[in-house]
Amino acid sequence: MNSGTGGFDSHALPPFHSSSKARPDGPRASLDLIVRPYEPGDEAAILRAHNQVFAHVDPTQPAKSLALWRWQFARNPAGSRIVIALDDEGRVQGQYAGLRQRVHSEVGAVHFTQSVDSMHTRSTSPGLARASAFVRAGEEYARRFCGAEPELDQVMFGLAIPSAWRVGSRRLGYEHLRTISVLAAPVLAAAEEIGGNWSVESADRCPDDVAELFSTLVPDRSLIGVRDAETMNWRFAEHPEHRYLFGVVRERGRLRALGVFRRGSFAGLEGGLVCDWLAPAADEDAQRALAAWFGARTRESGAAQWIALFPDTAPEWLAFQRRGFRLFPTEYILATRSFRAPFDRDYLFWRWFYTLGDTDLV
Amino acid sequence: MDDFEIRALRPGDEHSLLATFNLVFAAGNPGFTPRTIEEWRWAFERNPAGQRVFVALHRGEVVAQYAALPQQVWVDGNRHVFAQIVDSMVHPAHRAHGDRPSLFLETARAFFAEYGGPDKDWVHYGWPIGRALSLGEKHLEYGTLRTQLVLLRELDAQRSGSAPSRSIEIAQLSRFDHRAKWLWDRCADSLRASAIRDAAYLNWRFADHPRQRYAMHAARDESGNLLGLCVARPADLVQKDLWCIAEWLVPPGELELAQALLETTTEAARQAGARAIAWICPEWSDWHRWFQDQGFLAHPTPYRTVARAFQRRFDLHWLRSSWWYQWGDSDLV
Repeated sequence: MNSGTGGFDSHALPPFHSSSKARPDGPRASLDLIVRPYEPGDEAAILRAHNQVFAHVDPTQPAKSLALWRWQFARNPAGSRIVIALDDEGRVQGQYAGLRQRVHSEVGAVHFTQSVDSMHTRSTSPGLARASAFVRAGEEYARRFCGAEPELDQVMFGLAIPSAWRVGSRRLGYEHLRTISVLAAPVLAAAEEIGGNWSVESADRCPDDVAELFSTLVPDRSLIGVRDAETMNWRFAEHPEHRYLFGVVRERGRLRALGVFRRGSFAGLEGGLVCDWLAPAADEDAQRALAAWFGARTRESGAAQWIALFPDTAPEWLAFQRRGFRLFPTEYILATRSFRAPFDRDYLFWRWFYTLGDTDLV
Repeated sequence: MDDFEIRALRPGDEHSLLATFNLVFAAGNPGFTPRTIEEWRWAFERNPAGQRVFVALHRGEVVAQYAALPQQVWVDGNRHVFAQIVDSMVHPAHRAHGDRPSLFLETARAFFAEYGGPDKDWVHYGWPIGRALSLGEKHLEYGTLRTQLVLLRELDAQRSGSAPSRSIEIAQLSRFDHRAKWLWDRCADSLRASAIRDAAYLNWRFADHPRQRYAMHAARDESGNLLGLCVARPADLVQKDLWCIAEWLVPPGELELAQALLETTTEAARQAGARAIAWICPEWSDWHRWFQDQGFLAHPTPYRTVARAFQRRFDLHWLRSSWWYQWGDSDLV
């Protein structure tokens, strides 16, 4: 996964394109580029281009491995989308890619897609053609994969760095959903106590009864990515490069809260990352127990602080500040593009719940 | 647009402009108090940074306005003008429908052409809502600078800060003199790009405001020089019964002084019957962090701070990380 320091545009969104929704299957030629969806066997060329682009921006960043690519794009239980732009020698000149996510909403189950690894190469092509490779891949992506119909993706999102935002807002129809701030707090020196009927355990895999916990969260969250065991295990337990820990909070055996921890960094802050946090907003005991577990894991990891990302409209935003967390600005803009009602910008701003784990940044 | 004359405001337009303003802004707003000519003159004739008003006239009547309140802002060692877009409006009888061109957009475009540019105003900004935001984003190059948070502390909340100093005398001011600029000079570097807080600006903005009364608390040394300033007033903004800090001007690192000023304005808030104290400032500021340490929590608001930048190098990203503004830089408080 990249850390958001990508090349031309690491978290791009495609342009607004209101024309026909017809989806012919054949490739589309533009200038000297062939723009088409991913086909099996493309991954080697995609990775070559990806590693060239991202090494140019950040030479210290390790090359993306085939194992990571396969995990991310081939094994995501919700699926993935890729459109590439190839030159006449079959080299990938641009890519627009997204990770799908099943989302619970007030209008039923829908799909969002997170734009990741969007890029264009910095090879011999002139500037306009380079931009075209990216933009045209994005246009084709939106035309094929996004729309109001149930089989398509209804909302696209990404955490855009400034360069990505500049291009996206001028040329690609990004909407600024939110200016991203992160919450961080020093970890307490001593462990917090939890009640006698409670147990908090660390696990390498997600408990199967997460679906029951998720159903208790839904009344508080009108728009939230589905947390089931399959998705959580793919996202965290089966990650080929990072090790995550699940914090499993039970009261008399019943799952009351679930968190995901790893040591890492986000937006220049280093510490214990709250990669996911699932606790009913009114269940203060469960929140306290989960917070104690995060504090212990953070301390154990040697980190001095723990770090969380929530929408400022979520109950956790204020609850964490009351717990001693402070807000730190980041350079990220949460960019979205909606393809159906009611998911306009205001709706997403006030209702959509997400955590760091909903992004590819941790 | 042949039936309309779009141009800069001229003397004599103001009464017609005000009549249209009071008609437009009263609609759907039962609590609306009509603006007086004195209030209008304060805002648009006496602003020490000048006037930015474009109007559209139909048969001699002002039927649309696109206007701004300019400020002198210190950027990169020079004075430049930033201007807050306010009071944009179109008379209901002349609003766009069908194929008719939008008088709002035509007036706005004429305004931007006249005032915005690398050699003119560098930034036009504001907090538009609803349709103005949507039109501005679509047609007028408005961009979101940030989704605006507000720092808010309930008056009965426990605070983590230290006890206020009793050795610092805080007094209520009625006006500012040349020494106000000296205080801003001490703060300016830490504020990155900020409106110049001199006596002309502060007196116009707060002391001479024709409708609002501000509590202007300051610490002074034995010679009467200003050491720190906090200007606030009650307001129903974002939430009801808030005590909104409009202006906070304290040199960096003067934490004991800051504590004393915050305590004083907190006491004034209590006496005014406020439920909570609220303030906005950029998140990059050390003061943002300090207010959080005093028990202020960052809450979301429906506001977007929106801007259009005319100087390529000083774009929205730069503004987000460098422009210091508070409620006093808006017409909201």
